[in-house]
Amino acid sequence: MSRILCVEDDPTTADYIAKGLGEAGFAVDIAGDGRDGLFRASDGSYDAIVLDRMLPGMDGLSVLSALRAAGVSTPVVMLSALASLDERVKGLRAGSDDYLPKPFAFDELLARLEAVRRRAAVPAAGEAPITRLAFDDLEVELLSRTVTRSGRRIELQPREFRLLEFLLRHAGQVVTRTMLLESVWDYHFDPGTNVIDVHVSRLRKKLDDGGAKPLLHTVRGAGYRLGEY
Amino acid sequence: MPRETRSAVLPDLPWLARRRPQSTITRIATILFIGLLLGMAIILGFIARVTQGQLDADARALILAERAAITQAFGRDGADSAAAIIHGEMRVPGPLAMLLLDARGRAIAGNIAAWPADLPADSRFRRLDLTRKDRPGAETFALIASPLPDGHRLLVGRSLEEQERLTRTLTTSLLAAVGLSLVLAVGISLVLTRTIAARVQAIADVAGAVAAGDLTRRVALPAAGNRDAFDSLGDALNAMLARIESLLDELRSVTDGLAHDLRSPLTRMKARIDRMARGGDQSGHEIAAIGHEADALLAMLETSLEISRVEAGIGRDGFRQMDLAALVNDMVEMYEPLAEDNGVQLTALAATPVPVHAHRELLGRALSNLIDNALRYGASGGIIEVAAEATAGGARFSVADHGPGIARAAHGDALRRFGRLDVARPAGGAGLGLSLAAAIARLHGGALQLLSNRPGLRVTIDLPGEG
Repeated sequence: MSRILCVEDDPTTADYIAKGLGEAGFAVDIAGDGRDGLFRASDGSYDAIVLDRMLPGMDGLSVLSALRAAGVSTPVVMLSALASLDERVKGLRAGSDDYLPKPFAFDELLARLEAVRRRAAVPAAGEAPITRLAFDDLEVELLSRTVTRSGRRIELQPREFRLLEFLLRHAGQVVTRTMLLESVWDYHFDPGTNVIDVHVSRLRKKLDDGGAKPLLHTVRGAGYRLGEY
Repeated sequence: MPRETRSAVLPDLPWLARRRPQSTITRIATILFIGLLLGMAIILGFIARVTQGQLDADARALILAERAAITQAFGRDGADSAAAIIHGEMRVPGPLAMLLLDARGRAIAGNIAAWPADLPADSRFRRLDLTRKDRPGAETFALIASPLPDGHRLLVGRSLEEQERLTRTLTTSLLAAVGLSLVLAVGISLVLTRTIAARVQAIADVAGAVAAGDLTRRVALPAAGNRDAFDSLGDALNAMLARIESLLDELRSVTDGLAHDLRSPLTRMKARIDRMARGGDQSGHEIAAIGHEADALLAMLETSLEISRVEAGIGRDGFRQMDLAALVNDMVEMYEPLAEDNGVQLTALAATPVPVHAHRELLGRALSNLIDNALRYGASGGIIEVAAEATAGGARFSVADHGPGIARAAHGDALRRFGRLDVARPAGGAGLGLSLAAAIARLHGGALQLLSNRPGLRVTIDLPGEG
């Protein structure tokens, strides 16, 4: 079972996160302040850390910097009421793997936590880069940028190709609209309307054209998932 | 969890209104006095030194010349000849004192009654008080006493009364200078500080009045030209006050608008909760609806906060070199499928790169808001054009639709935060998008303009160039 450390001083929020993560199958420890969080996290035994930006005693950025300086590379998702883009950049620079402004939807946190955990599990260096992604009967050649489903060629626009690549790299996980916007379009604001939904539904139409079983699913209230069911 | 930041209570500022700068007058007067005095003392001291030196040299030269003449005559023709020279000199009154003694100490010639006690004949210059026979009272002399052959002794001296007079004159002048500089210092500093105090007091009075609550007060300034440092200070203060006043107005209208716009969704939420409390059968649907209302409220607050952040100038350190045309193409590409679903043709007119120094994310957000508004309110026109171009003064991007547009008179309302034009408009959006875009334009030193597209609305944002 994956172990998550939640460093959050507000008991209500900590409880909300712990309960939700528990239901999602994680074992959750809670640290109520920065020092305790740093102490617990310093042996690197957790699979991921949810770290509040503003904590009594030692703030989240300092905890993060101390951890990274000590060589602890546990993936960190930073939570913050400081939602502006520049605060986000500060958080990412300090070494967090993702930055989530408060208030957040729990599904968003869960999806991002899964994503950073998965990313950390993939060895980054020394291995040959992946040139081919596949899921079920869907195959993508990254170099020639060709997509086939059951051998049938599918023509995609460049952006649709990047969207599919991201979904394939996170196959089986829930990815949220903001995650797609950040990774595929490289913008960090919420366009508010269903801009992303339209892109996804176009991609879905192209993928599922021809009566094959649907691969790209909408997860209500959270986002999308590439999966068999 | 957001931390509360308590705003500092305005401190009481009694000194602004009451304290007169009396001590400043004293301080300036003292500095002036010391300065003037030092200056005069240095000049007088220099004059005294130079003159005294010259007079000393003259006196010694005269003494040596007289001694040489007498010694020479003595050596050639004896004591009588020397005495004759001395008698000759004594015939006209002058500054000289002379005395020739024989070996037994008797005076042969000269205008001094007796050889001064203990004066050795060692040919050295000395300064001594002597009384001449033909003059009342003692005078100070520079003198030299020399031995002559056969035990004779000769004293030659020159009166230093002129030098003494000069010293006295200089001392008097210095004292007069002290008095004069004191009067001048006090006078000048009084005039100076009166002027300065009056100017400062005028500005302090305005600041005090504003602190007391009258935000409309401003520093009075000359109409044009001849601006001094105080006018600049007043100018800066006035600009600051104008900014504070407009910010307060803005704050008031935002607070009012926020309260107004929060009321209806909150009322709807309360109604749904009440229905559920009474045991409505569609609680799942109601909870989802409440969730949507809450999301909309949060989005509204978030946008409102973002506007405040941008207006406070936060984000300037995020400026980078970027291509405005690429941004326009990005955004059009992002919105194109949505536009097509709404039956709108979204076109990018940005073929050539337009380099700007700007905040990519914020400009992206501004552009996305403008496109969103155009899709929301101008979709009936069928075509929306998004353009980026370099201009003489920098760069410009615009979003133009062919919908109903906004009447010219209503442009101001459209830009005001929470200034939704038609409250009954079905689509959400609390009218924050346009004011956020305007705030982002201002952050970049640019401006947002609403223009008529004949028909429709064209929103342009001008960005200044480098420098």
